[in-house]
Amino acid sequence: MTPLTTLYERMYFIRRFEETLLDLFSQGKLVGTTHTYIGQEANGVGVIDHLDPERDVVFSNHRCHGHYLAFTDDAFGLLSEVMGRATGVCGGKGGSQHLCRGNFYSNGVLGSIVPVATGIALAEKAKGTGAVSTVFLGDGTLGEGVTYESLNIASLWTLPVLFVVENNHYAQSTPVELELAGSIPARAEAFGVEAKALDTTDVTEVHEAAGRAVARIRETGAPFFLVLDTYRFSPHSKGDDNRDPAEIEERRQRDPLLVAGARLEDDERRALEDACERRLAEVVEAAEAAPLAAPEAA
Amino acid sequence: MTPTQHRRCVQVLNEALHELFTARDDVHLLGEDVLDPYGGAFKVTQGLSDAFPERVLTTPISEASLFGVAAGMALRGRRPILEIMFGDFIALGFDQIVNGIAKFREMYDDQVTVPLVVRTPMGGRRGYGPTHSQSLEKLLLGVPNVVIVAPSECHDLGALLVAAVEDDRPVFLIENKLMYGRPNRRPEDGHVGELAVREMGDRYPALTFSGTDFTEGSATIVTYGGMLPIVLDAVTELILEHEVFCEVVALSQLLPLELDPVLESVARTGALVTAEEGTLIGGFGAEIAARVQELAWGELRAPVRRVAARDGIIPSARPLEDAMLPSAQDVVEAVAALEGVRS
Amino acid sequence: MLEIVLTREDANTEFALLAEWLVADRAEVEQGQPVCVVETTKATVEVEAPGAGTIVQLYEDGVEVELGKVVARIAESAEDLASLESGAEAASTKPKRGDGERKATRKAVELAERHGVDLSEIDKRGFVTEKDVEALIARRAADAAPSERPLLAGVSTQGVTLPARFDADGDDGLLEPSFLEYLRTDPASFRALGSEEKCRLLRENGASIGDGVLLGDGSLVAAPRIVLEDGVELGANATILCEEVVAIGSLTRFGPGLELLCRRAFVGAGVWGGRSVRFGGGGHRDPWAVLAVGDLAFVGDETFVNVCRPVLIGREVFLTMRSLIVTHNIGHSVLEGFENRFAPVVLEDRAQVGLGAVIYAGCRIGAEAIVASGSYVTADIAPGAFAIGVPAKVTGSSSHALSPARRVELASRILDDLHELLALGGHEPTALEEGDPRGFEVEGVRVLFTPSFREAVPSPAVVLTLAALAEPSEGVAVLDLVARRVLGSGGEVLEAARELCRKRGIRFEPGPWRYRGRLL
Repeated sequence: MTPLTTLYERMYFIRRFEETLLDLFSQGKLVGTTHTYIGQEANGVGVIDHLDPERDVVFSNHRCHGHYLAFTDDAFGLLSEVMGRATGVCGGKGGSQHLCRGNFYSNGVLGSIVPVATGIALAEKAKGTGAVSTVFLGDGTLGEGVTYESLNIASLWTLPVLFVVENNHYAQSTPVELELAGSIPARAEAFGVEAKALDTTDVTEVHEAAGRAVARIRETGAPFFLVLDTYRFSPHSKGDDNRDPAEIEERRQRDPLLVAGARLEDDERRALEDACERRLAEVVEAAEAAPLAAPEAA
Repeated sequence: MTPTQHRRCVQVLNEALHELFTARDDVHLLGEDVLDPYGGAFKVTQGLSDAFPERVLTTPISEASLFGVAAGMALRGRRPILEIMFGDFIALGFDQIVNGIAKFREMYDDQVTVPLVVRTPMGGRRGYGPTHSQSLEKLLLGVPNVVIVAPSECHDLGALLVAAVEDDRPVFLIENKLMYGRPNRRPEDGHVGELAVREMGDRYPALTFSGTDFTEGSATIVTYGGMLPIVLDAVTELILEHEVFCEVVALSQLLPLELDPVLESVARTGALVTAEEGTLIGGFGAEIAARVQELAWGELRAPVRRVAARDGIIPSARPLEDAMLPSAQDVVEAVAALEGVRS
Repeated sequence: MLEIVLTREDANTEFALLAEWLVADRAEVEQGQPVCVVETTKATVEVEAPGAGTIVQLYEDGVEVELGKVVARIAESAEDLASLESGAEAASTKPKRGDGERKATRKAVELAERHGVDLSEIDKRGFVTEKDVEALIARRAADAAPSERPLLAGVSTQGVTLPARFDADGDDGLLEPSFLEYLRTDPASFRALGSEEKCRLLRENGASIGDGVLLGDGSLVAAPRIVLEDGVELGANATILCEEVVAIGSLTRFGPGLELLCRRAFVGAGVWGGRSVRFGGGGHRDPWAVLAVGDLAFVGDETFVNVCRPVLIGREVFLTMRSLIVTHNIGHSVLEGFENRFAPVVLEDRAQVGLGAVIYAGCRIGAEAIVASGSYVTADIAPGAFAIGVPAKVTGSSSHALSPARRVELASRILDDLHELLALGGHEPTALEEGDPRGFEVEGVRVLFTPSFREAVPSPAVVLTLAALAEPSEGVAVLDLVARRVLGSGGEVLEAARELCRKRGIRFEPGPWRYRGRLL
């Protein structure tokens, strides 16, 4: 069992990384846009702790920074990528939404990644690696038809796919009630895929449920559908937030950092946080010093 | 009667698939209705699932996802071949093609490759109507980073299929429906029929045909795939009836654009006609014409002319379909309309 | 009667290969007996006879057959068989392998038919074109020709009457090498000599110089072998420099400014050349720079004939002024795709080339063909054709057939025209009484026309005729308009008649001939 301190430290680092990105964005130091993970950290950290970066595969979406950091711990590669630096993990070609490092991939079109993650599972199964292919979806992605084609295929062919639905209740600015009918877990169950829905921001609970899901996949080789109720405190990307501030404030009471932090000794927590701050400062300094990505000489 | 004379294109492709599956164990085939005894709508995969049940998967009717599934396999080092039953259905996969398959390698800064082959039959002249008769490969022409290979019945189909599978780039292998049942007319002794043939290019070569052993020609006709036999009919008519000799360049690689064989021939003939079965607007001919006028303006004595389908749907009724699709007569007329063609 | 149909069982298969017949055509078959093997994209199947009878096959094996077609019928009775044998689907119409694969062009087929050529004699990979047929026709003619001329490097002399001296092996007129050296190193001092002195020196040093040869002021003739026959006349400032031989036949004359540069030049007798005629240009020292100009050819003013490959000009060819013959092009690198052409030109006997027309390297103008003024000839012109345009295209025939009556009428009109011209010139011709031969009298000489000259007429007289069948008596001249010969002799009136005939294209031997009379 991974100690809570480790989980907390990872969540805290992701939180501060994303907040730093928002600052840098305000200063005009970021390229394009960014979709932050603030508020959803317990999901990425809780799930990914069960994956082996050497063997398992993660396919993430546009809101991928938290997943990336949890899986690769490569803050410099990510920050310099988002800042358009040559040292970025994709040389500045991908930017915020299009990352790749080792067994981690992300792409920017909703739903598009689900069949690819399914194909990855098919390949890993054929190779006999025992890998689990994890794909992160949101409630918005459930509007894309390929999601259901992929559920069908993964179930039909018994593929080791972990579908993680992070239901943050908003598709960009549209509340889930206006875009989704019916039950989310029942969608998977209709395809014969085992599903588990969880309404918690407690990383320990997420960690435990994800652990069972991954173990189940490793045991049966069959897909699993994990639905995590969550909330993002920051806007979808930038400047597109029309939510009721009272609603956000209510949700902040259940901030995963507060929930987990309350269980740590203050000194211990502060020491972890300070370490994160120092590391982040170093990463920002290094990324800012890195050369901008430049076209190859023809 | 030598056996090669009668090996039809579908058999050649089928044998190549069997050889590929025997030679390498990272090749998979996914497609609708590919299992034996049915063996695929056009029978290209016949016998394959019986021989390699683990690696031949019959799929749900989910093209939009299957492109992604195949891409995922390719990302993880497998060599998937995705059979799309009718080329028209690639429209369902365009998100995967444009936003994934074509992008992964470059946007991930060359950390990955996507060695995926999509095989699909295109083309009309069978009365299948508007959604089962199109030649949509031109839509792929606007997608950087994919390879389009559209062989003709005179190409080495087996070698092209093997090359496509061994290519680290995503390859769309466009197979003409009518081609399947026709003999794979490989050049023998440098000739197909009375026409001398030269091959240019390595992996996906172009074939250049000449009725004068490349000594003279009034025009070059560049074409590919299922239009080749139609163009060869036109060229034969021009020779026999008018003693007008045209060279024909049958490309197999449409993307990245393979212009050398075209430029080489145009340098001899001074005029160019493009012929494709797809619709005219924004097509293969438009791109070739633009490039050739940029690169070889000085060689051209007349504007490039294009032969293509009318811009509309492909009707089902035979006379309507015939009127829609380009014919040998259209090619003859396009050549005759060029300046400086002797008759 | 039963049918064997290749059934269509699958929407995606339209054709099948009729791989093999298992029974012979017209064989007796039993019901259920396998009769043929058919391959579709799906499978190879044996097709069984639907009943017993005599099988009549409608397709050869090895062909693709559209599914749904009947490939054979089974005659169940003699009547069935008889009706099949007489039907439209009889064996003769059976689609066969390779049938319909015509490889000869329409033009080739038509030309072959005109010349009675069997196309199967052309053994060639690829299409058989009009050119292939022409080549075969020329080859046949060449094979039939008496001897091959080695220095022509394969150029066919078909249709070309070469000058008499056209011969690689002659040895008359060999020039003393030291004298040749003198001509080459100090041409100016030779040019400055008078005609008689030039002829004498040439003769003394081995050249064969006939009587009455006139070498104009400032002219030069230099070659290892020189033959100038009687009466050769070169105008002022002529330059003849040949690497091996120059031979010019009797009575040939060129106007001033002739330039004749090549390896071997053979000019026939009676050739009439205008002023500033040039033979030579680029490549005139090449081993193939051989020139032949046939007897009685006409070479107009400022005509230029480039000779780096053989140029064969036949007898009585007309090269009208400023016509141009080239045997090579010039231009950019052949390795950059530019055409690089070196090829002979042949003008067969009596061909005519109009004012300013250009004959491109490699072309052959057939006998009696006419190339119109200003045309550009890039391909062979068939004998007797009329070609015009840039590039020249054949639009018709160069001449038309005449009936005997029409010929008499045209000849008779020459007499009338002459009468009229003399009247207009104030020479007061008087018509003779109607009779045979009819005619008029001028300056005391009777001018008569008779279709055939058979009996003596009183002298002095000039008789125009289409057939001279008797010898003229003293004081009578007979112009045979068809044989183009002059019999007997006469004065001014004969000369006037001869000049008018010349203007009608009737030129009498020997040539050349210049009218210096006063009547016309």
